[in-house]
Amino acid sequence: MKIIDYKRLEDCHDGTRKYEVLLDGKTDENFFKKFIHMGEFIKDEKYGKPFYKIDKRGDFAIKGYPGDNIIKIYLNQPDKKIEEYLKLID
Amino acid sequence: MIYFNNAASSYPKPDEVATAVEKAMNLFPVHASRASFSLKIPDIVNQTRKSIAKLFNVENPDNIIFTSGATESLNYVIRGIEVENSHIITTVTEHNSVLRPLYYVEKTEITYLSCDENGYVEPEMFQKNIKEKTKFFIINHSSNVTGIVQNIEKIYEIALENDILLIIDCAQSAGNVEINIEKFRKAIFIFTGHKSLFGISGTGGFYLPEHIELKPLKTGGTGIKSNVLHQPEGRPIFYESGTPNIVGLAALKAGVDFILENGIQKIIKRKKDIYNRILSEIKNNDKIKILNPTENNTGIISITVDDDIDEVCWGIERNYELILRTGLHCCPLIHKDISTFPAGTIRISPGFFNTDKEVETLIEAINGGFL
Repeated sequence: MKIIDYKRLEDCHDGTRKYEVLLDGKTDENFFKKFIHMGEFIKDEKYGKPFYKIDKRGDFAIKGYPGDNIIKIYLNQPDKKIEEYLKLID
Repeated sequence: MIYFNNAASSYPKPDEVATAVEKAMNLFPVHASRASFSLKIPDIVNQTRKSIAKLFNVENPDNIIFTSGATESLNYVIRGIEVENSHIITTVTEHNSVLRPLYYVEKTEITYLSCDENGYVEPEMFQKNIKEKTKFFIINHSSNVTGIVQNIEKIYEIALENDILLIIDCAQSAGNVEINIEKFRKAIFIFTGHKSLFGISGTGGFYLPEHIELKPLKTGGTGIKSNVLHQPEGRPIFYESGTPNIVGLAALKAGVDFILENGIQKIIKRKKDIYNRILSEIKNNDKIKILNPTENNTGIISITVDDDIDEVCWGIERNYELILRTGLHCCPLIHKDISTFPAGTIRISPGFFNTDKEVETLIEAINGGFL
């Protein structure tokens, strides 16, 4: 999957930096499973439609809905650079 | 995409607004008072002033000062009043466009009044907190978080009785509530163009009562009295330097004229109908809590959920192609009082042009699909 663009969104109240990443294709479960080694893999179906998260608490999270070409990356640590995470996708 | 974020900026605009923008773009850029042809070119700036004056019932349109929006207006007013060693009373319901200019006011005591769970501020709280040195009250007419409309009649009465200036931020209420400035002649009113007045971004202004003068925030060219080095006296030019945003003001005029031609009551009724329909359909959904689900609301439905509101809102937006808004809505202080800190709320703000079908999709997203 290629990254077309990304931008920083409004920071969360706790200082977490939030980025929206636009991809050149739609995500599916396999896309999120690629990052399974990085944190906890969560398939959340409580909203009626599945929602995927790779969550390493206090560090980062990658979130998205399958079938969408946008994912969000949350960085909890001020010294982490978004570029490090973008490299993993591109 | 279906737009339910009209509290941020109204969309779509009436067709007349786009037409006015196009027309203004194609006019010779001749300043109304600077050229021989000025009488042949429409004086858009002052025509807009007259339309605003008519909508707000202002006797003298020259007391309407144009700015780039409510934020600039609030900065203009807050920085323009001499406040050193005085006291200001405001509320936790304010937008950052009030809170941040106040943050930079030096050597002044500021009291932030609390609100109830709907965002309502008891007017008596102003009375109770007055000090000998209280200079002004500043309050938003309608909250952009809960939609509640404050009792500005009572607050104005208290201000008058105590010889205190009242500043009313009408960013959310203008176009959503009938505003009759004749009844509040001694108060300053702030408005923006791009929300419920149907203008475009980069327009707004404030009503400045005859008896109040501010330090000018901006000084510069006015097109007249070019020989003097100081800012020329007289309204509105004392407060309006630089080339005006003619295209933006043409849009604002078209938006305000749309309201005047249709009648504000018709616009209010349509928005109320949409608000009541959504409310009646989602109020029994036990997965959400609705803030200020009352008649005293300019049409904002703010909800909270037990789950991560960012994820929920994102899901609604992506799966139903709805545009909502989530978070603190630039109002950091209100959320502790209404128990929505730190996550904030999911805000649904319908507009006059939302169709019944769009409303149905929203209700389905909340009740049937996502929550």
